[in-house]
Amino acid sequence: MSQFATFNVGEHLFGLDILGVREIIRVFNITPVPRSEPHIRGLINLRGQIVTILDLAVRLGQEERPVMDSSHIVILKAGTSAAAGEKGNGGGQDILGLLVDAIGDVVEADAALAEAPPANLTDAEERFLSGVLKTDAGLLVLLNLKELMSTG
Amino acid sequence: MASLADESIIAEFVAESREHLSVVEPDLLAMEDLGAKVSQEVINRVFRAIHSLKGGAGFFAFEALKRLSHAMEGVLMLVRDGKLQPTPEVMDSLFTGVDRLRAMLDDIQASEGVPIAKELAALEAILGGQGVKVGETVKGREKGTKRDFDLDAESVRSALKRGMNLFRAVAYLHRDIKDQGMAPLAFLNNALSVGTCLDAFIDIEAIADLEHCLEEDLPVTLLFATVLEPDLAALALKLPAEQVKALEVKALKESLKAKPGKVSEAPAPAPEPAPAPAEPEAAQAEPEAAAEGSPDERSEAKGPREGSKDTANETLRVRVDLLTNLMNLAGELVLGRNQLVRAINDYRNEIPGLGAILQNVNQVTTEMQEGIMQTRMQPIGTVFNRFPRIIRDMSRQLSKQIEVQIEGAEVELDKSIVEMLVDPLTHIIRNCADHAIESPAERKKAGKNAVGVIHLHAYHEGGQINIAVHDDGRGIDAKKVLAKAVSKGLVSKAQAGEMTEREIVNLVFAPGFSTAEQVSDISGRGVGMDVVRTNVEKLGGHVEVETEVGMGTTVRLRLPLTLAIIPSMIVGVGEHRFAIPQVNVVEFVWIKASEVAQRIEQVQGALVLRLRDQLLPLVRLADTLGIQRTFQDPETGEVKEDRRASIADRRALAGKPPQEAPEREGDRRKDWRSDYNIIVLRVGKNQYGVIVDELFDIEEIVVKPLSMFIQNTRCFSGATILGDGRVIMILDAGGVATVSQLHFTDLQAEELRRAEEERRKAALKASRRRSVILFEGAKGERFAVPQDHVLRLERIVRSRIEHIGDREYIEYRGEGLPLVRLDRHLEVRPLAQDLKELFLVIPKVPGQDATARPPAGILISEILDALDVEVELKKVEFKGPGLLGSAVVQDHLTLFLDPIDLLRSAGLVGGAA
Repeated sequence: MSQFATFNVGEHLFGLDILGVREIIRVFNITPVPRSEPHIRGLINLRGQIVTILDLAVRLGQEERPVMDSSHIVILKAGTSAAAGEKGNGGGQDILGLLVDAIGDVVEADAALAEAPPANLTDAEERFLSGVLKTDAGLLVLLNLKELMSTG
Repeated sequence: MASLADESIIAEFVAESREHLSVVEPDLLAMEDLGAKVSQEVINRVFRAIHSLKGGAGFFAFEALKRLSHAMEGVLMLVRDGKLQPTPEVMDSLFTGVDRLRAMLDDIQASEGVPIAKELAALEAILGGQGVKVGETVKGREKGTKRDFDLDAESVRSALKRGMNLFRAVAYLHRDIKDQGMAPLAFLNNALSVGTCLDAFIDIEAIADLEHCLEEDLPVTLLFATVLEPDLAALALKLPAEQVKALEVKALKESLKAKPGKVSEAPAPAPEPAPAPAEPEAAQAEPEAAAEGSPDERSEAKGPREGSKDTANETLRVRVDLLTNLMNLAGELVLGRNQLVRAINDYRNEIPGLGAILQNVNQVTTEMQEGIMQTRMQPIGTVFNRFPRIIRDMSRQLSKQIEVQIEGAEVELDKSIVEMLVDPLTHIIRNCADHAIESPAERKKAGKNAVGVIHLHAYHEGGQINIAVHDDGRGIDAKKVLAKAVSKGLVSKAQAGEMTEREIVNLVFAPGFSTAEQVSDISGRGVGMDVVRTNVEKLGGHVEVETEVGMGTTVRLRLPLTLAIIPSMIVGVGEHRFAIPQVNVVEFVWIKASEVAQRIEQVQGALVLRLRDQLLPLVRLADTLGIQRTFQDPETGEVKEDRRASIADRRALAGKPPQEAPEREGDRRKDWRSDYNIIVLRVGKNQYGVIVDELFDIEEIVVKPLSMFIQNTRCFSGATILGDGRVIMILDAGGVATVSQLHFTDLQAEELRRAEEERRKAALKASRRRSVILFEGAKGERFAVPQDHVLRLERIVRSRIEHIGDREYIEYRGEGLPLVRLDRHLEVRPLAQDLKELFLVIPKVPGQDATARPPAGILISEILDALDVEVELKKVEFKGPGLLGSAVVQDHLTLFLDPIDLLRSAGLVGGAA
């Protein structure tokens, strides 16, 4: 059994293995980065470390929306993003945060039971999803972090 | 046994020994890989490590450790001396030895119990095969007889030259010094009063271990140079004669040759023979050796001092990322402190002692931050010190004599900068040796010392580090450089004419430049100096060269103290803040709204700033970065979108039609073109201006690397956290220029064109300059006549004017000269009647000889001045003959006359009108 941190983006519930999550924080003072890709929401100062914030909604093909009261940032463990940092440039040291609309509970589920994500489940590109899990909280869409973080 | 020694000292010994072993392993691997070809340096390093370990083991009386390391040392010695090939078997024995040593160090107190018989046997078998018995050397060494001096070749040589004798004097601390009622210092002072002490050591190894150190007397061995004879020397030193032995000068000289002298930093670690190449200077300094003509003499090299100046023990290896992390945390602590101070400041008076506590926290935080910064600092000497060796090798290769002088080796720089300086500096120095310094013959011919000097100097200045590399070589010939640059198409002929000598010399940094007539092995492939410049600029520094032909060249590098912390100017664009590293900032230009039209213009569709007759391309930062420009309504304070035309935004122009919104009534901007804040940035040798909305302070910022997700923006070099905790981006001046598609070359062409125009205008202006004679007619009426129209000016007495009809004449050089009154021909007032003296302007008739009879003279009342004026003549409303026009000269309206035209109309000179 694995534990999943869950969060909402739009109407869907998404999940990440909790071992890859460093912490979850409220949204504050995001510094936008001009000329960056649309899904880069900006940078924040997390206790002296600069964290790059990925706008998960935009990444998944939705409209950019203003930060809401329920919005949170899921900070990923540095090692997790290192897996995506294959392009070098010290990218492995990047700390990443995902901007989400709301956070949900921690859900226990057996990752082995994950099914392939049905087409048209969300409007997200398929490559960002790694599977779906049926849980008590509803259908949990598992994210493919590696693809989410690819800079290509 | 070891009980005498403090536990913590042993722990230190263990840690140190582990570090030694960790160094040994890769070197052993290298030895195995390279076999006999392995460098002495590597073997020596291994040897040193094992030797130190053995010394410590002996000192703390870890017998097994000592025996094993000693056997290994013996084998290494043979390998080093070339008596033994590093065969696989030999290497195996060494590797297993290292493993055993490590096992023993793991539990030092139980080290005696670690079985080492097999390893020892293997090592001894190797040694035995070479006829060396382990026990013998051990004995010999412990007697302290093999322990020898660390010779400084130079001082020994100079002592010998001055006819001094060298002695080995052994003084026992108790018997010879203390028991004689002398303090050790007094003994030394006494010794120094009769000679020079070249070296001294206390032979701790002569004492078996700590246990015996109290019983045995500690021998101090001196290498002593004095003019005294042996028997007198002993007397002077107050030592028994048998303890003062004269050293054989010849043996000493030979041993000197075996040593590289002071050039190499590390003394040869061997207490036994170590072959090393002889020094050429050594042969020179000693006629004897030179006569023998065998500079390759090898002999016994002297050993180092035990526990010498090696500072390795005082340092600690720390991972750099750990330091970086600490630095981040320290920065965060500073922030936290600031917030804390702000938050509880109001309670200062309510809580007693709070002020002091805050102050304390304040200070500790600051010191800690500084301390952590310090940990990353390294002396520049770590780079400098490698150059004497490089130059030594090069000078032999090039048959030149070059000396390296180092100054300011202690100046500290951030580790990363020090590392990145190695290549550029090496390049510069190689250039010095290869190109700049002449051959000895050439130098002598030029009246210089045959030995060329390369002077390395590092110093602080203005918060930056300066490194100057000076050579006293032939200098750089600006003419040659220019010719080369033109021939290679690096500069155009037109540009060449405009360049200052300094600019020309700095062309050596241009890509693809090399003046060396011959490409040599060492340098001169034409990719050199531009790489130097690129590297230095990458570090946020600058490089410049100054030269004087025949006298030498100085290459100057200016570098920031640290890469991590850079002073930066904080600017605002709309809601955004950006940091611009100060090294990129040339100046700040503020253009008042009223001057915008004059100072800012468009060239080929791009904005251009006119700054001191230079054209600078201008970039609106907001447009380059795609930020919506805003302005604050001066009345309501409301932030509104700025709809000023965004000329520089080519992307917008290309993509969608520019939103050239019609000026609305309600758009209450301060002004259509309000003030401009322009920061002039430097990119390489180019400069450009960036228009920003606001300027803030200059702050010291800590650079954080850019996330890979935003590296493709190209406009930023990093990010930083400001004092208030806000994250801002650091602008990359080069990137902004690229993204803005600045064409510096277009602009240079434009500039040339303008300069040309300027010159033409200037020439035109000059032609308008004229020299005139200023005079007065009636009171207050001023006239001017071009000087080249005037033959002479004469003073006359009124009473001498004669009248014939209504014409007036005066006798001039024996003939009657007709006089012309201006008021008769022009609408001007007549001259005053009461003047006794008058003046005559005698015009020059074109084509007429100066000695010819002048046609007439014009009567005036006074000559005011002869001067150069630059005027544009205006047509006058009252017309008349001979009137060129009017202009204001010396604040008076002045009529300019053409005298010949005047005379012609008066019928006094012929020719058509």
